[in-house]
Amino acid sequence: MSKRGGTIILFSFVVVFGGYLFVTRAILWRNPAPLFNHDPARCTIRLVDATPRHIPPVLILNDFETQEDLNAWFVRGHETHRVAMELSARHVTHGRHCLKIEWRAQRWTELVSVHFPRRWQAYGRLCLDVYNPGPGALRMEFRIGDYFDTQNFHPVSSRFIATKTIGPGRFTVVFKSGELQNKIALESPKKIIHLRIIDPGRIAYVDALRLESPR
Amino acid sequence: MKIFLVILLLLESAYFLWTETTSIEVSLQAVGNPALANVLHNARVAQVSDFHFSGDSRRAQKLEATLLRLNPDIILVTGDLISDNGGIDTCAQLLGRLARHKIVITALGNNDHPYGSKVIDTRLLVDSLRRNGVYVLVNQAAIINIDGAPAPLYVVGLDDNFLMLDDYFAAMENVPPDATKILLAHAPNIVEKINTRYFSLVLCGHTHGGQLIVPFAGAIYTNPTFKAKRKFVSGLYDGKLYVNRGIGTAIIPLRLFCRPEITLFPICGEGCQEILKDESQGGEQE
Repeated sequence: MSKRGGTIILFSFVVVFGGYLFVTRAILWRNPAPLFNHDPARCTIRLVDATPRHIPPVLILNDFETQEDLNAWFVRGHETHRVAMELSARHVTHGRHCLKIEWRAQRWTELVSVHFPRRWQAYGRLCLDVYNPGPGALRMEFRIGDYFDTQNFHPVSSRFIATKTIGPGRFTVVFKSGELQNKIALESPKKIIHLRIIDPGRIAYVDALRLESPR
Repeated sequence: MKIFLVILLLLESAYFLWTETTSIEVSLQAVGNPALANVLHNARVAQVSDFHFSGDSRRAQKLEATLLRLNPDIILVTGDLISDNGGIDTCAQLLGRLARHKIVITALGNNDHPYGSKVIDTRLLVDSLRRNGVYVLVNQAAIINIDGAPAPLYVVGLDDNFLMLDDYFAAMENVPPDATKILLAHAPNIVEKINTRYFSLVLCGHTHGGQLIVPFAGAIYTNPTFKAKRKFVSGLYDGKLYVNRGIGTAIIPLRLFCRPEITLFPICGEGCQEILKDESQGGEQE
């Protein structure tokens, strides 16, 4: 192609592109939309009361009654094969079954719940019944996180972590909402619980994970 | 001569990209819904979305000027207000100024929350907005009473559904089932989770309309979570789901054949499509 031909093509392109810009920007885009004359309406606004209409005194999150309840938990970590969990009819505190956990893991391993899609801020306590068949006390570590914790969005310090020492026999683990809400968002729609028995070679029966004491 | 033409072409291209990215289009989206028209009683509703403010206030000034001139009574914002914490002040001041004269309601988007390596102070954002008179609906609902309207309008705002923070049942707690409702949710995949037939209008953003549109091919990427990836890119779907193209940009600061958008919803009863047919043609440049 000759030098002159190239210049003509370039010139044509500049003119066509410029024309397109002029037509779109200066004419089409400036087409005034009607409906702009408008008498403002007088509006008032308020929030809808978000308090649940009916708050049951006890809200069971997981009663460990069915296979579905069991499926809401899974084992993860270095020694998942050394942790067994099953439904048991012994040492039940609510319903007909509870969760029996046999813990032989020595390296980091934990039970993790799926999301509990509940707003917890309406309640004063998170409780869990634990039966320790003994002998001796066993130590259980609990970690509770909201949605962000599960995604590692926040540093570890934003999680709620507590260790409970459970003597032989029945024990109710209680977490007050006040101590939880310093670490996690109780109003977050999804929360997750991690549970670990620190002392290996132990058995624990767990039942009735629940929210109590409506606020 | 040739150098002059090349420079001219480059200038035209720069102007083209600049106007594509910054000139706000006012879309008039007619919605024929007698129940909604009844409770709105001629009040004007506008939707804006995806500001992605990060400290630069020029876009905010332009947006404010346009909104004030359009004079809507109710401004509904569908999340992604900021891109980083530097945008909190800009956003709170803009929406706060508008909230002095209008009703401003916003939901939150994925960029309003920390995720990945992003550090976002959501609590500061929400507090700043609320201090400035903006209604931030985090899985909540609000009632709007309009003078002369026979019944109130409920606006239900979900927390970001892209990050799965939405709690539909919490938001709908104490909202009468037969009330006329507008739903604000950030990402349009909300239609896969809830039944939209209970709402008169469902407003979403998130996709930026694709942001970069290839002529005859469509959007390159819409940051979707839904299976049908390009199902909801922008515009009205099924007569009630509206996906706004947003104001800002994400990842790259450019838009192509996908201008920033403010949507005005002229809502009327039977036959409004004919009435608005002529009026809804074109938009205007800002």
